[in-house]
Amino acid sequence: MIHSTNVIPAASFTTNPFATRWTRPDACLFLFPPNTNIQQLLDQLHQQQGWGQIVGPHGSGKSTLLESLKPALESRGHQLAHYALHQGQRQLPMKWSDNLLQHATQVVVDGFEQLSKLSQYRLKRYCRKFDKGLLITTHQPLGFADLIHLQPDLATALRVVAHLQRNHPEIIHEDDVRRHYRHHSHNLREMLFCLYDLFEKRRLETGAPADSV
Amino acid sequence: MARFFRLWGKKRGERRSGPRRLGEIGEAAFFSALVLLGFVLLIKFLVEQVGSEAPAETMFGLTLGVMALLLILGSVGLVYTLVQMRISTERRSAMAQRATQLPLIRQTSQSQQDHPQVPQDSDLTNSPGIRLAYRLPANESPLWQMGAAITFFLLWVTITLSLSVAVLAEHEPGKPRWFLFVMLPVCAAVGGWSVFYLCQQLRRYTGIGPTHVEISDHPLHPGHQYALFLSQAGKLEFESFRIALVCQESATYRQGTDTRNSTQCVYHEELLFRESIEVQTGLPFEQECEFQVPQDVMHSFAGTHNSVQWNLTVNVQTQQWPPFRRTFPVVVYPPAPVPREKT
Amino acid sequence: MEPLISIRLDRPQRAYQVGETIHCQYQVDRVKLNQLQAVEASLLWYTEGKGEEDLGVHYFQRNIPTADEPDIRALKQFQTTLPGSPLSYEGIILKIQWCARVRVFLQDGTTYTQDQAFLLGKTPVAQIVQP
Repeated sequence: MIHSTNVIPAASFTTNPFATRWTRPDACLFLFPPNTNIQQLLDQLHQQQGWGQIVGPHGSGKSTLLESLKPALESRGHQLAHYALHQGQRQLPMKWSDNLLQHATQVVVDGFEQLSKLSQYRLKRYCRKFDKGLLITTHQPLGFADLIHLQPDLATALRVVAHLQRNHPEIIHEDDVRRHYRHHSHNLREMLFCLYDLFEKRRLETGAPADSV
Repeated sequence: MARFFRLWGKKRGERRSGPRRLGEIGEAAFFSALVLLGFVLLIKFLVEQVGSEAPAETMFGLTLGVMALLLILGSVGLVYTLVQMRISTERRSAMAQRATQLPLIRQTSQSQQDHPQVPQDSDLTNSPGIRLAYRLPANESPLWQMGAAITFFLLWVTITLSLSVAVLAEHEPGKPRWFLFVMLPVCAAVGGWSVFYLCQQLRRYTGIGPTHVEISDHPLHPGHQYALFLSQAGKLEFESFRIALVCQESATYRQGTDTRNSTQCVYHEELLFRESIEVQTGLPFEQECEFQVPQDVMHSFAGTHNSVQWNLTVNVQTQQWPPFRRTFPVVVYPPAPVPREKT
Repeated sequence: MEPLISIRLDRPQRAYQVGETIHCQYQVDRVKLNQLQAVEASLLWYTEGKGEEDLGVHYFQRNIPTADEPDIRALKQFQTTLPGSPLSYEGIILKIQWCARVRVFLQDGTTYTQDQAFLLGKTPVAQIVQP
């Protein structure tokens, strides 16, 4: 059984709005829940002397929110030191002598709970000692003052999908979002990955359009 | 130079410098001696340590390590030799040749310049075949699993034996060492499981046997024809045996604590299908076929997070064992550019 | 107001084969000379899909104001021979796109980018296969 195709490729391929290029945290706009906006969060963080935790399950938008907060923090005069930790990364990813850390007024750690207890303690002590703010993301509360608890709902999922598809014909419909959102236990990231596959499948079923130059 | 004794040599196929069976017996005897030596020295050392009023503290770890190493080397070698006895002479020759062959110096830098992001095929073409030009390496090697089983078994047996010796030597009537008494059956139970698992792996490895794929040329070019030679050893009955040419996209996404790997098959062509075949020890199932790489296909691509991989996959369903699959990566180059007509 | 970046390739169909020479012209408008810090032009490929993006730069050119050439907004051009790989590819979870990219750096630190996509090779669109 041979599978081949003779569809003529276009000079510019059909972009999938759910590709990681558009959904990754630094590319996607964080859609704030009602009655919340970025200025409120920044004010609250300021009241907490720059210390706070963003709590939420997998795929709830913690990293995306951080990416939205970063430029706003810089525009308020903060010098940021941002570290993103991956699964199993138990040690701090920097040295205490790093210039970036030494000159920072606000330290941001994405995935703080990955660190070992000793590394967490050392970083907290360092930030307290040198009067630096420490903003973290975590799946479970870690004793920091809450900045925001993210709990995406179906309305948020629909808004996100509508935003991503704003420049495309509506290939993914509300019913699709409902079904996949429920199926993935409210994990927006997993839902978006599945919508990617669904978009591709429907694109192929309708035929890949050749872009006009 | 006399054929009886050689300092070095390059053998292929049937050529040997002595009787094969004698060589196998000699190898088995050597590795058996290593195992025996390791066991004897280990037991002697442990008994001396336990019985001595002032056990030596220095060099304990090193001495134990050396003995464990003897045991491991001897056992792995012995098992490998026993298994080798089931492998055909052709394959053994190819393995010997591979071990003695100097690595080929290829113009990889030029290849990389001409075809950026196309994986280099030097790892795929450093093993010559018996019937065809190249023997392809498999992605997965069942030897690793068996090696891990052997290592775990040996280590656990050593620990259990040491514990037993300690319990017996330090036993004083009226003053039982309850902790050691409780640990001993637990260790014995785990040791029993490790024996069972090892036997299972050994039986599976010798039963299913290695899959051997050779190809007439490499890398592959769109529109070109290639010959394949397949050999499946073991002692099993096939319900079905399929080989296919497969193209697969692969993408890795890492965000925060989440790492996600996706794959998607975009081309699948069945090259060979056979069913109801019985393979006997020493008489592997062998097939030859030809295939053509389609003209208009995506070439192999290797990025940091994304790739397009071409493979020859062998899927086998048997009556005695669960179905298994072996994957042999190949590299497909981009098509040669077509001269544009001048207007 | 955003700068206006114009990129033009020598072929209207924007389809090229391996080993051919691509000619690209670009210029920047709607921006004052004293606002500009630098203009970069490059020919690159990038991936898009379900994985993290990979990117490879085949040609790169950076223009900064000099005494000989103070106005880096003016029309410029470059040409380069296209490599053997990777070819443009419209896959399912992975797509490979070639483009000419012009990036404008302003004195205040902001950057603006414009891409002009083109096709290298003629690999067909992939189809989902269930083996």
